[in-house]
Amino acid sequence: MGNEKRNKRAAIKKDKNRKRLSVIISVEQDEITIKALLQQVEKLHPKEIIMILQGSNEESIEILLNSQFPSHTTIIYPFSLGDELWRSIGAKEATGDVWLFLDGSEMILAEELSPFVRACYGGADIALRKSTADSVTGTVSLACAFFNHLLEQQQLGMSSMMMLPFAIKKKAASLVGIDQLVVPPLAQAIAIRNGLRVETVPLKWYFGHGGLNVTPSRSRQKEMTCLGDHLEAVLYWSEQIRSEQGKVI
Amino acid sequence: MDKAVVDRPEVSVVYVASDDTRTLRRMLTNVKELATSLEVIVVSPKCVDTSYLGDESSWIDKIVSPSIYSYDEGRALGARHARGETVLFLDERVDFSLPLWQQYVDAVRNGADVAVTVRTQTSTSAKKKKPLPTRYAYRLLNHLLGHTELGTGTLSRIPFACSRKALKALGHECLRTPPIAYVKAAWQKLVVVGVHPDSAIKWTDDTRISMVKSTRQLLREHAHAIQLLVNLIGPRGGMPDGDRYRDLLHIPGELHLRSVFYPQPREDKGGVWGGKRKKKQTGSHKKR
Repeated sequence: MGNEKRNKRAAIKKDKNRKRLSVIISVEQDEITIKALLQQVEKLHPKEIIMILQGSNEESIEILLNSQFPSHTTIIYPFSLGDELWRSIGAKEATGDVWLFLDGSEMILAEELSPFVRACYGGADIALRKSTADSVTGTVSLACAFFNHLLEQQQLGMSSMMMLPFAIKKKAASLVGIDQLVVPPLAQAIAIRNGLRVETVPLKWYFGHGGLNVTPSRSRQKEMTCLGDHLEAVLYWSEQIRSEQGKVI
Repeated sequence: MDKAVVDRPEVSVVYVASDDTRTLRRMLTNVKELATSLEVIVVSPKCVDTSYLGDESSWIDKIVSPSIYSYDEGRALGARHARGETVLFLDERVDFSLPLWQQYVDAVRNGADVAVTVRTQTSTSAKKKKPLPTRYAYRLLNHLLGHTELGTGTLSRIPFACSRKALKALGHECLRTPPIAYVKAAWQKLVVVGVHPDSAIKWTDDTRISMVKSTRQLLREHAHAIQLLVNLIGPRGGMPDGDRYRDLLHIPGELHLRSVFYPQPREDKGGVWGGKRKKKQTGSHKKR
């Protein structure tokens, strides 16, 4: 009886995903993890998988084009698009009504990805990866913590749309503006401003570097970009407060 | 201690009080040792009864302004009237400690323009406590201003001291929104130093005190200060844009320099495409 129920539930979930779920994945030099990640994504039975390859080496391209994953659309850019631009490009191709964004350098089990999608089916507009950082030390983590408190979303801790994976409803993304997905904290601020529901989902097990296995200078560059994104978002929020208050402090 | 004879006192103490003057007496008893020439300005939204101080109250400047709603506004008003070379800002919530206040005055005497309190967290119980959201704001602003060593140092919390030069450069009105004053101080290259109190500062936890700004307001003030900083520095506060080809977002995908591979039909699973292809193959075979 228990098994029957479980199977029935799994079938419903599968059916839902086949009709509604688009998975959008960024791939750079991720030949080590991408195949395993795709295997896990296939287990979700999504409507479509959209892979955005940017400045990838031949090995990564070979793996993807010769793989046995027939339901994916592969978009290959011979150059790097710049940080997070793939999100908007992928979103413009997506036809599902829940979008799951993933990083090709991080292998995450299907069971771990499922809750993000489930949260969106269950009423959340955006499901973020729950931050596990114990302390706030670096400038970027300070910016994340400060920003969530500023948005009066203290329950999010240091979680941010900067972090992958995250899931978003198509309706929510349209309200935020697909082009705004390029600057994740700004997208998050617009979402909150529009009264969208943002939840966090814990991620227990994953493998890979999540885009962190880069040279120290690249890592520093990414941090600075992330900080710039937060500043852009704080500016947006500050303007909103001013127009709300109708005065200049 | 005759205020009339000193045109430019060495130190001005700006003390803001709503109605609690319990700490005022202790301050007045000991404050004279802070400097040889001194003025004390008590700012309050309503008339503070200092008659119990007797002669001690004769050399206090009292400013009453009903329009004061926060300690910051009181401090801004006090700063406007302060004539001292060094202005030390206190209020009713903090108990007097001569050696501690001396540290702030000495910092300014030694060349600093602004001396703020840097909180050192040493006790294990303090470490376990969840940090207040305002602390994130104070620390972030210091990081953005390149003053990471100042930790949670801020003008939003007393005690702090300013030099005459700093007050002239910032303008007293600026102190109504302390994070804005803090950004302006850094931008004008004023020397900001941190004072590390040797012992913990004693605070009164009187819940009647209503002139404290809410956390929400403090965070918003910091957002405005960050906005000011970004506007002064330039787009994105001088931070890189991650080499983004943002123009691509305004061009249809078909015009992008890219290759697109759409899903392939699954022949083995009898997909629609596979079916058609098989049919075609059969047809061509027939023609032969």
